[in-house]
Amino acid sequence: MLEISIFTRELVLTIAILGPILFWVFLKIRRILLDDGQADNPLGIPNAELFYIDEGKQTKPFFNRQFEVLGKPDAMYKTPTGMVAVEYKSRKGSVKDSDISQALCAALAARGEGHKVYQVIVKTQTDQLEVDLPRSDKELYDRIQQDVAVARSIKHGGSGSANPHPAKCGSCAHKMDCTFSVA
Amino acid sequence: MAKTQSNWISASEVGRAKFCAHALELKYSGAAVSASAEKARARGDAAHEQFNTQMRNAERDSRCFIASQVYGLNDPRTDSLRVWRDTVLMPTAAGRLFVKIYYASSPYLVHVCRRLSVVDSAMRFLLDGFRRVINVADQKEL
Repeated sequence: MLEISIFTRELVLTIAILGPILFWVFLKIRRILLDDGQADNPLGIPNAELFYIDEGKQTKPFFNRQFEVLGKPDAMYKTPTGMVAVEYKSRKGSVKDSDISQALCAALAARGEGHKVYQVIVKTQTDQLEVDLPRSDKELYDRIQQDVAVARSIKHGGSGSANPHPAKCGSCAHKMDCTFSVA
Repeated sequence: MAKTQSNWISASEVGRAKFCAHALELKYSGAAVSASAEKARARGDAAHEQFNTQMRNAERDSRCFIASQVYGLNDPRTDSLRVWRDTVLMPTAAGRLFVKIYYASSPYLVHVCRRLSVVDSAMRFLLDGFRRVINVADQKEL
């Protein structure tokens, strides 16, 4: 009878000590298993791992030899379905069409080196836009073809039409030399 | 007007052509960059660096990889371990569980690595050994 009561007391003590520890371990494991892949990055990309960051001059650009474009996304995140390229603009305000063209071109360049970029995110300090990309590189190129053609033409000595706007001209690096400037 | 034979176009040039083609023309013609634009560029560079730090910290705080801490984020050795994770661990349920547990526990280890260089060196030694084991296993499979 005495042995049973000692055994019972030890059992109760063991449960009292180990119980909370086991329960805590259970909760931890449960939390790990039920991890819903919430975003752990400032862009809100779920299940993403930071794969690449443009570190400045020491980071080499990507080259797409088929379309002869080069560029560096500001960052790339690896997700289960492929890569997400990020274009960051330090200014406030909405995302501009020119930001999107730049981001698409950088994504095309990254694709040229085997990175399966399926989405680009363009982020300013106050705005963020996600753009889903076509699967085919040709279709992606078609989206920016006009801008590439204009840039190439100017590079080869052609002229570029002015697009004056107070906000644009105000932030333009060449406004002092520009006869069309409305800044 | 400066002319060049190369067809290669950079993403920033494409963006600039969309923004204002004449601005791109002025750039190619060698027009001077205004002092305010230089200052704006410096501010932009600083903001970019700040954003980079934000992304790196978010990664380290949560889904931190010890290899990224030890070797660096873009290092080929880190990449080789990522490839091993994706090709060997992720296809199996046990491997995925291991990766989840690793993600949950690695921030603590990295925190210790950052504070104690001895632990950092020990982790580097262990990771180097682990990479050698993986490489030998890969070569045997081939």
